[in-house]
Amino acid sequence: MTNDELDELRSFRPEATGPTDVLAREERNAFMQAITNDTAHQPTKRPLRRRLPRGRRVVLAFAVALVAAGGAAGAAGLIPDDVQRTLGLTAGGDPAFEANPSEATQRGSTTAADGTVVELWTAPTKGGGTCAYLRHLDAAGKPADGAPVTCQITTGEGATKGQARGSGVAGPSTGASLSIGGSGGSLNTDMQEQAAGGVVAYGEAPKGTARVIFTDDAGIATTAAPNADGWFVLTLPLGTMPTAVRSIEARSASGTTLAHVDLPRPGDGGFETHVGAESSGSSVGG
Amino acid sequence: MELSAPSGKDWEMALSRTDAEVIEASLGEPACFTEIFDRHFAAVFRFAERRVGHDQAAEVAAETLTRAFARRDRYRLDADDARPWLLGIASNLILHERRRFARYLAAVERVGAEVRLQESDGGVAASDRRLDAPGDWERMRTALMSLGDAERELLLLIAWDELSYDDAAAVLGLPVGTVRSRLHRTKARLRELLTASGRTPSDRNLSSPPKEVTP
Repeated sequence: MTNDELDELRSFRPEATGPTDVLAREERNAFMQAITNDTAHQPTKRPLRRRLPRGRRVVLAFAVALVAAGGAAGAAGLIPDDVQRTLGLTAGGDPAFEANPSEATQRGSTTAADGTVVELWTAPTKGGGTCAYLRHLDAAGKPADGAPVTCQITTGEGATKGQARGSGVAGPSTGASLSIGGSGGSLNTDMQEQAAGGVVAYGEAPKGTARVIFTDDAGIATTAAPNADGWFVLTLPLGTMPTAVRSIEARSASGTTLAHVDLPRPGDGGFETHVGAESSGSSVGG
Repeated sequence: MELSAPSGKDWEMALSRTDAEVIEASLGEPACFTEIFDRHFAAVFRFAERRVGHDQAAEVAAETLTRAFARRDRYRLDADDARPWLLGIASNLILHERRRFARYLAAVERVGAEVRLQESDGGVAASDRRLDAPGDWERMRTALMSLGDAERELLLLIAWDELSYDDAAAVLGLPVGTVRSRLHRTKARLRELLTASGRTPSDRNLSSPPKEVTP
């Protein structure tokens, strides 16, 4: 028997540099969090298995609401003044979209492309929805004014409606937000371009999600591990625009897809969403 | 919610345990499975990197470890080393997305072409055989993709991942005797395909392996 063929094949062996230390550490953290999430409700020795109910609805809506951050001091307590003040600026319009700043909660943080820390704060609205605020902190920990607040309410049957109030915000522009709903919970995401470049994505994942995966045009996947309440916030790789994101997926620790959406390239005019084992098509509007 | 890594004596105990012992312990203490992650993530990553490229390898490796965790109750505890088991999971994941694999192989070919151009432009006195490296790879790639998934994977496990026959058998879930006979047949089939495409072993010098590129 000759080894010519194996030797020839060996000569074409692609180089493999392996993971960088940073990547390995990030993946390890995500893995540990996935294990934690998967076992938190699973006291037995068996791995978690989840079955999604049939007939889940798929709903998508684009909705962005912007409210300029102001300058006055806010209330005291664990909620920073600037957070209360900014969320309070939702008052005066449709009451359904008016946030209650005193119930604001920090859901997580990420480091943006320019090195600033971005905290995700949310507050419930009077209409039963949620307002989200990305709070930017500079190197000295000082909050920057001008960040937008995005508010969404659910309008029956899982449909999501967003407030769209132009306000002449001098801060970051925004990307589309979307909601893939179902009886087991929705995957709500919003992507916001940052003034200094890059995109911060955040949202709320269905119950049981261990990883939310954003995949861009180049096939690069960026992963976030939601906190115990299902909220996540992450920075997409520098150069990735919201329109370059091709798919967003929520997965359980056991690999089950809980929600998935394929986003169209600009001008393609359609996309496919998948929730659990079922899928349906729809068209992008607005 | 965070899990803490073992420290001090825990580390010494962890290091002295086989993979099978760690996996068995993880059935009661799931956090123990991070030890398997620490031991094998890089190897699984490199395995995936050779098949789908660096940028996609992280996702495959992470998914592999996640699935392994979910299936840890099915691990055969008589196998001390978990690497073949993990590579088997990774292999199945990659085969499940053949298009990604095929796209990566096509990208490798393009790099071969770039190497040729750079050498020509730089006036390097490359041999004729070296200049034909992209053509060689194209023939090899076509031949590889003509093989069945299991046959191709066996060749790659031996040639690219440098696994022993025993480990390759564990990855594929086959008896080692079957691996030996299948490898013999597959090499013969590959030789036929390469010969049919115009290559004979005697007229080929080894060229530098193509560098990895993101498809």
